[in-house]
Amino acid sequence: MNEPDILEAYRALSRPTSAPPDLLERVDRRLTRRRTARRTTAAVAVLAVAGGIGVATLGGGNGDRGQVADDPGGTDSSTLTYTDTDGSTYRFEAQDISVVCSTSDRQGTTFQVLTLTLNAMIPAAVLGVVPPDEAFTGPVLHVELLTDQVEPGQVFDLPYDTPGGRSERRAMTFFITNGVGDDANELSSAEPGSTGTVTVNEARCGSSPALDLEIDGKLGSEVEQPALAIAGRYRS
Amino acid sequence: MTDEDFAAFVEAQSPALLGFAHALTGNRHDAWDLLQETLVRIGDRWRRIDQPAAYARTVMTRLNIDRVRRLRRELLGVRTSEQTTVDVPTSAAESWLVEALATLTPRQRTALALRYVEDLDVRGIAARMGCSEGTVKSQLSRGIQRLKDQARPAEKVDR
Repeated sequence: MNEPDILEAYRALSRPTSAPPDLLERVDRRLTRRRTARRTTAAVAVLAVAGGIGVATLGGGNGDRGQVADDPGGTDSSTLTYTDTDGSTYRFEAQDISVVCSTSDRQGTTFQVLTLTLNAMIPAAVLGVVPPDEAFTGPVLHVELLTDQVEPGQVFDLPYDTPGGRSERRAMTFFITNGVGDDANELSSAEPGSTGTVTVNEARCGSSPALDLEIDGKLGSEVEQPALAIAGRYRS
Repeated sequence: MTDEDFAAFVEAQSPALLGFAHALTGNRHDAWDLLQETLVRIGDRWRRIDQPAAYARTVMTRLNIDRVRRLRRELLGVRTSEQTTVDVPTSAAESWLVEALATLTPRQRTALALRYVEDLDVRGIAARMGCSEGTVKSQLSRGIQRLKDQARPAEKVDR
Protein backbone atom coordinates (compact mmCIF):
# COMPACT_ATOMS: atom_id res chain seq x y z
CA MET A 1 0.00 0.00 0.00
CA ASN A 2 1.58 3.28 -1.09
CA GLU A 3 0.60 6.81 -1.99
CA PRO A 4 -0.55 6.08 -5.57
CA ASP A 5 -2.79 3.26 -4.30
CA ILE A 6 -4.40 5.55 -1.75
CA LEU A 7 -4.82 8.30 -4.33
CA GLU A 8 -6.45 5.90 -6.79
CA ALA A 9 -8.87 4.68 -4.14
CA TYR A 10 -9.81 8.23 -3.19
CA ARG A 11 -10.41 9.16 -6.82
CA ALA A 12 -12.81 6.24 -7.14
CA LEU A 13 -14.56 7.08 -3.90
CA SER A 14 -14.98 10.79 -4.62
CA ARG A 15 -16.07 10.73 -8.22
CA PRO A 16 -19.16 12.87 -8.91
CA THR A 17 -22.33 10.97 -8.07
CA SER A 18 -25.89 11.74 -9.08
CA ALA A 19 -27.92 12.89 -6.13
CA PRO A 20 -31.49 11.59 -5.68
CA PRO A 21 -33.98 13.61 -7.78
CA ASP A 22 -35.86 14.92 -4.75
CA LEU A 23 -32.76 16.50 -3.22
CA LEU A 24 -34.00 20.08 -3.59
CA GLU A 25 -37.36 19.20 -2.01
CA ARG A 26 -35.59 17.60 0.97
CA VAL A 27 -33.30 20.59 1.39
CA ASP A 28 -36.32 22.92 1.23
CA ARG A 29 -38.09 20.90 3.94
CA ARG A 30 -35.03 21.03 6.21
CA LEU A 31 -34.65 24.75 5.56
CA THR A 32 -38.26 25.33 6.55
CA ARG A 33 -37.86 23.26 9.72
CA ARG A 34 -34.66 25.11 10.61
CA ARG A 35 -36.29 28.52 10.20
CA THR A 36 -39.37 27.46 12.13
CA ALA A 37 -37.22 26.04 14.94
CA ARG A 38 -35.20 29.24 15.06
CA ARG A 39 -38.34 31.35 15.46
CA THR A 40 -39.69 28.97 18.10
CA THR A 41 -36.41 28.95 20.00
CA ALA A 42 -36.24 32.71 19.98
CA ALA A 43 -39.75 32.85 21.41
CA VAL A 44 -38.94 30.25 24.08
CA ALA A 45 -35.74 32.09 25.00
CA VAL A 46 -37.66 35.33 25.47
CA LEU A 47 -40.22 33.55 27.64
CA ALA A 48 -37.49 31.83 29.66
CA VAL A 49 -35.69 35.09 30.38
CA ALA A 50 -38.93 36.90 31.13
CA GLY A 51 -40.04 34.16 33.49
CA GLY A 52 -36.66 33.72 35.14
CA ILE A 53 -36.48 30.05 34.25
CA GLY A 54 -33.74 27.99 32.70
CA VAL A 55 -33.91 26.11 29.44
CA ALA A 56 -33.99 22.37 29.98
CA THR A 57 -31.36 20.09 28.55
CA LEU A 58 -32.36 17.73 25.82
CA GLY A 59 -33.28 14.29 27.01
CA GLY A 60 -34.81 11.20 25.61
CA GLY A 61 -33.66 11.26 22.01
CA ASN A 62 -35.98 10.00 19.31
CA GLY A 63 -39.09 8.74 21.02
CA ASP A 64 -40.27 6.95 17.90
CA ARG A 65 -37.37 4.57 17.93
CA GLY A 66 -36.76 3.60 21.52
CA GLN A 67 -37.58 3.74 25.19
CA VAL A 68 -36.25 6.35 27.58
CA ALA A 69 -35.06 5.12 30.95
CA ASP A 70 -34.35 8.38 32.71
CA ASP A 71 -36.82 9.35 35.38
CA PRO A 72 -36.34 12.71 37.09
CA GLY A 73 -38.15 11.43 40.16
CA GLY A 74 -36.56 8.00 40.14
CA THR A 75 -33.56 6.42 41.77
CA ASP A 76 -30.92 7.08 39.11
CA SER A 77 -27.54 7.81 40.60
CA SER A 78 -24.23 9.00 39.24
CA THR A 79 -20.79 9.54 40.69
CA LEU A 80 -19.16 9.84 37.25
CA THR A 81 -16.52 12.54 37.58
CA TYR A 82 -13.68 13.54 35.31
CA THR A 83 -10.59 15.57 36.14
CA ASP A 84 -9.38 18.17 33.66
CA THR A 85 -5.72 19.03 33.04
CA ASP A 86 -5.87 21.97 35.45
CA GLY A 87 -7.01 19.67 38.27
CA SER A 88 -10.59 20.85 38.23
CA THR A 89 -13.28 18.21 38.37
CA TYR A 90 -16.68 17.91 36.75
CA ARG A 91 -19.39 15.59 37.95
CA PHE A 92 -22.03 14.26 35.56
CA GLU A 93 -25.22 14.52 37.60
CA ALA A 94 -27.82 11.76 37.29
CA GLN A 95 -30.74 14.12 36.72
CA ASP A 96 -29.05 15.47 33.58
CA ILE A 97 -28.39 12.04 32.09
CA SER A 98 -30.65 10.32 29.58
CA VAL A 99 -30.53 6.61 28.82
CA VAL A 100 -32.15 5.61 25.55
CA CYS A 101 -32.54 2.23 23.89
CA SER A 102 -32.89 2.05 20.12
CA THR A 103 -32.16 -0.11 17.12
CA SER A 104 -29.54 0.89 14.61
CA ASP A 105 -28.84 -0.52 11.17
CA ARG A 106 -25.08 -0.39 10.71
CA GLN A 107 -23.44 -1.65 7.56
CA GLY A 108 -26.21 -4.18 7.03
CA THR A 109 -26.40 -5.45 10.62
CA THR A 110 -29.06 -4.40 13.12
CA PHE A 111 -27.90 -3.71 16.67
CA GLN A 112 -29.70 -2.92 19.91
CA VAL A 113 -27.99 0.20 21.16
CA LEU A 114 -28.18 1.54 24.71
CA THR A 115 -27.03 5.14 24.82
CA LEU A 116 -26.25 7.23 27.87
CA THR A 117 -26.02 10.93 27.13
CA LEU A 118 -25.40 14.00 29.15
CA ASN A 119 -25.53 16.92 26.83
CA ALA A 120 -25.18 20.14 28.70
CA MET A 121 -26.31 22.16 25.74
CA ILE A 122 -29.68 23.66 25.10
CA PRO A 123 -31.74 21.82 22.48
CA ALA A 124 -31.32 24.63 19.99
CA ALA A 125 -27.59 23.94 19.80
CA VAL A 126 -28.13 20.25 19.21
CA LEU A 127 -30.65 21.08 16.50
CA GLY A 128 -28.17 23.41 14.86
CA VAL A 129 -30.34 26.47 15.37
CA VAL A 130 -27.75 28.41 17.36
CA PRO A 131 -23.95 28.05 17.26
CA PRO A 132 -22.64 25.47 19.76
CA ASP A 133 -20.22 27.91 21.39
CA GLU A 134 -23.13 30.13 22.33
CA ALA A 135 -24.93 27.28 24.03
CA PHE A 136 -22.16 25.16 25.51
CA THR A 137 -22.43 25.12 29.28
CA GLY A 138 -20.48 22.03 30.29
CA PRO A 139 -18.84 18.82 29.18
CA VAL A 140 -20.70 16.34 27.00
CA LEU A 141 -20.83 12.68 28.00
CA HIS A 142 -21.82 10.00 25.51
CA VAL A 143 -21.67 6.26 26.24
CA GLU A 144 -22.83 3.69 23.71
CA LEU A 145 -23.30 -0.04 24.33
CA LEU A 146 -24.34 -2.74 21.87
CA THR A 147 -26.41 -4.76 24.32
CA ASP A 148 -26.29 -7.97 22.27
CA GLN A 149 -22.52 -7.98 22.63
CA VAL A 150 -22.16 -7.16 26.32
CA GLU A 151 -22.41 -9.72 29.13
CA PRO A 152 -23.44 -8.68 32.66
CA GLY A 153 -20.33 -7.93 34.67
CA GLN A 154 -18.16 -7.64 31.58
CA VAL A 155 -14.95 -5.72 32.11
CA PHE A 156 -13.46 -3.74 29.21
CA ASP A 157 -9.76 -3.04 29.51
CA LEU A 158 -8.88 0.33 27.98
CA PRO A 159 -8.16 1.16 25.31
CA TYR A 160 -11.00 -0.94 23.99
CA ASP A 161 -11.64 -1.21 20.26
CA THR A 162 -12.84 -3.79 17.77
CA PRO A 163 -10.03 -5.75 16.10
CA GLY A 164 -10.45 -3.80 12.88
CA GLY A 165 -11.15 -0.52 14.65
CA ARG A 166 -14.69 -0.30 13.22
CA SER A 167 -16.50 2.10 15.51
CA GLU A 168 -19.99 1.07 14.43
CA ARG A 169 -19.36 -2.50 15.71
CA ARG A 170 -17.65 -1.50 18.95
CA ALA A 171 -19.49 -3.09 21.89
CA MET A 172 -18.66 -0.19 24.21
CA THR A 173 -17.67 3.40 23.56
CA PHE A 174 -17.17 5.97 26.29
CA PHE A 175 -16.81 9.51 24.97
CA ILE A 176 -16.38 12.95 26.54
CA THR A 177 -15.77 16.39 25.09
CA ASN A 178 -14.94 19.26 27.39
CA GLY A 179 -15.79 22.08 25.01
CA VAL A 180 -16.42 23.14 21.45
CA GLY A 181 -14.14 24.75 18.91
CA ASP A 182 -10.45 24.40 18.26
CA ASP A 183 -9.35 24.01 21.88
CA ALA A 184 -11.86 21.33 22.84
CA ASN A 185 -10.49 18.00 23.96
CA GLU A 186 -12.42 15.00 22.60
CA LEU A 187 -11.72 11.82 24.52
CA SER A 188 -12.62 8.25 23.67
CA SER A 189 -12.16 4.87 25.33
CA ALA A 190 -10.95 3.55 21.97
CA GLU A 191 -7.97 5.90 21.78
CA PRO A 192 -4.48 4.47 22.48
CA GLY A 193 -3.91 6.84 25.41
CA SER A 194 -6.74 5.26 27.39
CA THR A 195 -6.00 3.21 30.51
CA GLY A 196 -8.00 1.48 33.26
CA THR A 197 -11.31 -0.34 32.96
CA VAL A 198 -15.01 0.05 32.23
CA THR A 199 -17.24 -2.49 33.96
CA VAL A 200 -20.77 -2.98 32.65
CA ASN A 201 -22.79 -4.53 35.46
CA GLU A 202 -26.02 -4.33 33.49
CA ALA A 203 -27.05 -3.05 30.06
CA ARG A 204 -30.59 -4.00 29.16
CA CYS A 205 -33.01 -2.84 26.48
CA GLY A 206 -36.68 -3.82 26.25
CA SER A 207 -39.70 -2.23 27.87
CA SER A 208 -37.64 -0.91 30.78
CA PRO A 209 -34.08 -0.10 29.72
CA ALA A 210 -31.51 -0.32 32.50
CA LEU A 211 -27.86 0.59 32.76
CA ASP A 212 -25.31 0.09 35.50
CA LEU A 213 -21.69 0.81 34.66
CA GLU A 214 -18.46 1.83 36.35
CA ILE A 215 -15.32 3.41 35.01
CA ASP A 216 -11.93 3.93 36.60
CA GLY A 217 -9.18 5.12 34.32
CA LYS A 218 -8.20 7.64 31.69
CA LEU A 219 -9.68 8.36 28.27
CA GLY A 220 -7.25 9.06 25.44
CA SER A 221 -7.61 12.16 23.30
CA GLU A 222 -8.75 12.06 19.66
CA VAL A 223 -7.20 15.48 19.06
CA GLU A 224 -3.63 15.21 20.32
CA GLN A 225 -4.36 16.57 23.78
CA PRO A 226 -3.69 14.95 27.19
CA ALA A 227 -5.66 11.94 28.37
CA LEU A 228 -8.06 12.80 31.19
CA ALA A 229 -9.00 10.77 34.27
CA ILE A 230 -12.59 9.71 34.84
CA ALA A 231 -14.02 7.56 37.59
CA GLY A 232 -17.37 6.68 39.12
CA ARG A 233 -20.55 4.74 38.59
CA TYR A 234 -23.88 5.35 36.93
CA ARG A 235 -27.06 3.36 37.72
CA SER A 236 -30.50 3.84 36.25
CA MET B 1 -28.77 35.79 -5.96
CA THR B 2 -32.29 34.39 -6.20
CA ASP B 3 -33.97 31.18 -5.09
CA GLU B 4 -33.79 30.06 -8.71
CA ASP B 5 -30.04 30.56 -8.58
CA PHE B 6 -29.92 28.35 -5.48
CA ALA B 7 -31.88 25.62 -7.26
CA ALA B 8 -29.48 25.81 -10.18
CA PHE B 9 -26.54 25.66 -7.78
CA VAL B 10 -27.93 22.54 -6.11
CA GLU B 11 -28.43 20.83 -9.45
CA ALA B 12 -25.01 21.74 -10.81
CA GLN B 13 -22.88 21.21 -7.70
CA SER B 14 -24.54 18.29 -5.94
CA PRO B 15 -22.82 15.46 -7.85
CA ALA B 16 -19.33 16.79 -7.04
CA LEU B 17 -20.30 17.68 -3.48
CA LEU B 18 -21.78 14.22 -2.93
CA GLY B 19 -18.53 12.68 -4.15
CA PHE B 20 -16.55 14.85 -1.75
CA ALA B 21 -18.95 13.97 1.08
CA HIS B 22 -18.44 10.29 0.32
CA ALA B 23 -14.68 10.73 0.64
CA LEU B 24 -15.11 12.67 3.89
CA THR B 25 -17.39 10.12 5.52
CA GLY B 26 -16.63 6.81 3.84
CA ASN B 27 -20.32 6.04 4.18
CA ARG B 28 -23.10 6.61 1.65
CA HIS B 29 -25.84 7.44 4.11
CA ASP B 30 -23.62 9.78 6.09
CA ALA B 31 -22.54 11.41 2.83
CA TRP B 32 -26.14 11.91 1.80
CA ASP B 33 -27.00 13.47 5.15
CA LEU B 34 -23.87 15.62 5.08
CA LEU B 35 -24.76 16.90 1.60
CA GLN B 36 -28.27 17.84 2.68
CA GLU B 37 -27.10 19.58 5.84
CA THR B 38 -24.46 21.49 3.88
CA LEU B 39 -27.02 22.67 1.34
CA VAL B 40 -29.36 23.74 4.14
CA ARG B 41 -26.60 25.89 5.63
CA ILE B 42 -25.85 27.32 2.18
CA GLY B 43 -29.53 27.94 1.45
CA ASP B 44 -29.97 29.71 4.76
CA ARG B 45 -27.28 32.26 3.84
CA TRP B 46 -27.66 32.15 0.08
CA ARG B 47 -28.07 35.86 -0.58
CA ARG B 48 -24.95 36.70 1.47
CA ILE B 49 -22.51 34.20 -0.07
CA ASP B 50 -20.09 35.33 -2.78
CA GLN B 51 -18.47 32.02 -3.74
CA PRO B 52 -20.96 29.30 -2.90
CA ALA B 53 -19.00 26.35 -4.32
CA ALA B 54 -15.93 27.08 -2.20
CA TYR B 55 -18.05 28.00 0.79
CA ALA B 56 -19.95 24.72 0.49
CA ARG B 57 -16.73 22.72 0.74
CA THR B 58 -15.65 24.59 3.85
CA VAL B 59 -19.07 24.12 5.44
CA MET B 60 -19.05 20.44 4.57
CA THR B 61 -15.57 20.00 6.03
CA ARG B 62 -16.47 21.72 9.29
CA LEU B 63 -19.75 19.84 9.60
CA ASN B 64 -17.97 16.53 9.18
CA ILE B 65 -15.86 17.14 12.28
CA ASP B 66 -18.59 18.87 14.25
CA ARG B 67 -19.21 16.70 17.26
CA VAL B 68 -22.44 18.50 18.05
CA ARG B 69 -23.82 17.62 14.65
CA ARG B 70 -22.88 13.99 15.16
CA LEU B 71 -24.60 13.97 18.52
CA ARG B 72 -27.65 15.56 16.95
CA ARG B 73 -27.81 12.81 14.38
CA GLU B 74 -27.47 10.16 17.06
CA LEU B 75 -29.99 11.76 19.39
CA LEU B 76 -32.62 12.58 16.83
CA GLY B 77 -32.22 9.63 14.53
CA VAL B 78 -31.66 11.67 11.38
CA ARG B 79 -30.14 8.61 9.76
CA THR B 80 -33.40 6.69 9.78
CA SER B 81 -35.87 9.54 9.41
CA GLU B 82 -34.76 10.55 5.92
CA GLN B 83 -32.83 7.55 4.78
CA THR B 84 -32.38 7.23 1.07
CA THR B 85 -30.35 4.76 -0.89
CA VAL B 86 -27.73 6.44 -3.02
CA ASP B 87 -26.62 3.87 -5.57
CA VAL B 88 -22.92 4.10 -6.23
CA PRO B 89 -21.02 1.44 -8.21
CA THR B 90 -18.16 0.08 -6.13
CA SER B 91 -14.66 -0.68 -7.38
CA ALA B 92 -12.19 -2.89 -5.53
CA ALA B 93 -10.08 0.11 -4.56
CA GLU B 94 -13.14 1.95 -3.35
CA SER B 95 -14.32 -1.04 -1.30
CA TRP B 96 -10.97 -1.31 0.41
CA LEU B 97 -10.92 2.40 1.22
CA VAL B 98 -14.48 2.37 2.59
CA GLU B 99 -13.57 -0.48 4.90
CA ALA B 100 -10.39 1.26 6.01
CA LEU B 101 -12.02 4.65 6.54
CA ALA B 102 -14.45 3.08 9.00
CA THR B 103 -11.49 2.63 11.35
CA LEU B 104 -10.46 6.31 11.30
CA THR B 105 -11.68 9.18 13.44
CA PRO B 106 -13.73 11.90 11.69
CA ARG B 107 -10.81 14.32 11.90
CA GLN B 108 -8.44 11.80 10.32
CA ARG B 109 -10.94 11.06 7.54
CA THR B 110 -11.41 14.77 6.94
CA ALA B 111 -7.69 15.54 6.77
CA LEU B 112 -7.08 12.67 4.34
CA ALA B 113 -9.96 13.66 2.06
CA LEU B 114 -8.72 17.22 1.88
CA ARG B 115 -5.27 15.96 0.96
CA TYR B 116 -6.18 13.30 -1.59
CA VAL B 117 -9.38 14.73 -3.06
CA GLU B 118 -8.94 18.49 -2.73
CA ASP B 119 -5.15 18.26 -3.15
CA LEU B 120 -4.53 20.76 -0.35
CA ASP B 121 -1.24 21.15 1.49
CA VAL B 122 -0.98 21.15 5.28
CA ARG B 123 -1.60 24.87 5.52
CA GLY B 124 -4.66 24.65 3.29
CA ILE B 125 -6.04 21.70 5.24
CA ALA B 126 -5.54 23.56 8.52
CA ALA B 127 -7.40 26.58 7.18
CA ARG B 128 -10.27 24.46 5.89
CA MET B 129 -10.57 22.45 9.12
CA GLY B 130 -10.04 25.42 11.40
CA CYS B 131 -7.16 23.88 13.35
CA SER B 132 -3.38 24.16 13.66
CA GLU B 133 -0.91 22.81 11.10
CA GLY B 134 0.55 20.58 13.81
CA THR B 135 -2.83 18.97 14.36
CA VAL B 136 -3.20 18.39 10.63
CA LYS B 137 0.23 16.72 10.43
CA SER B 138 -0.56 14.36 13.28
CA GLN B 139 -4.02 13.53 11.90
CA LEU B 140 -2.57 12.81 8.45
CA SER B 141 0.25 10.71 9.89
CA ARG B 142 -2.04 8.60 12.07
CA GLY B 143 -4.69 8.33 9.38
CA ILE B 144 -2.28 7.17 6.66
CA GLN B 145 -0.66 4.68 9.03
CA ARG B 146 -4.06 3.26 9.89
CA LEU B 147 -4.96 2.93 6.19
CA LYS B 148 -1.73 1.02 5.61
CA ASP B 149 -2.37 -1.18 8.64
CA GLN B 150 -5.80 -2.02 7.24
CA ALA B 151 -4.32 -2.89 3.86
CA ARG B 152 -1.77 -5.40 5.16
CA PRO B 153 -4.11 -8.34 5.81
CA ALA B 154 -5.60 -8.01 2.33
CA GLU B 155 -2.15 -7.88 0.76
CA LYS B 156 -1.19 -11.11 2.55
CA VAL B 157 -4.30 -12.85 1.23
CA ASP B 158 -3.53 -11.75 -2.32
CA ARG B 159 -0.14 -13.40 -2.25
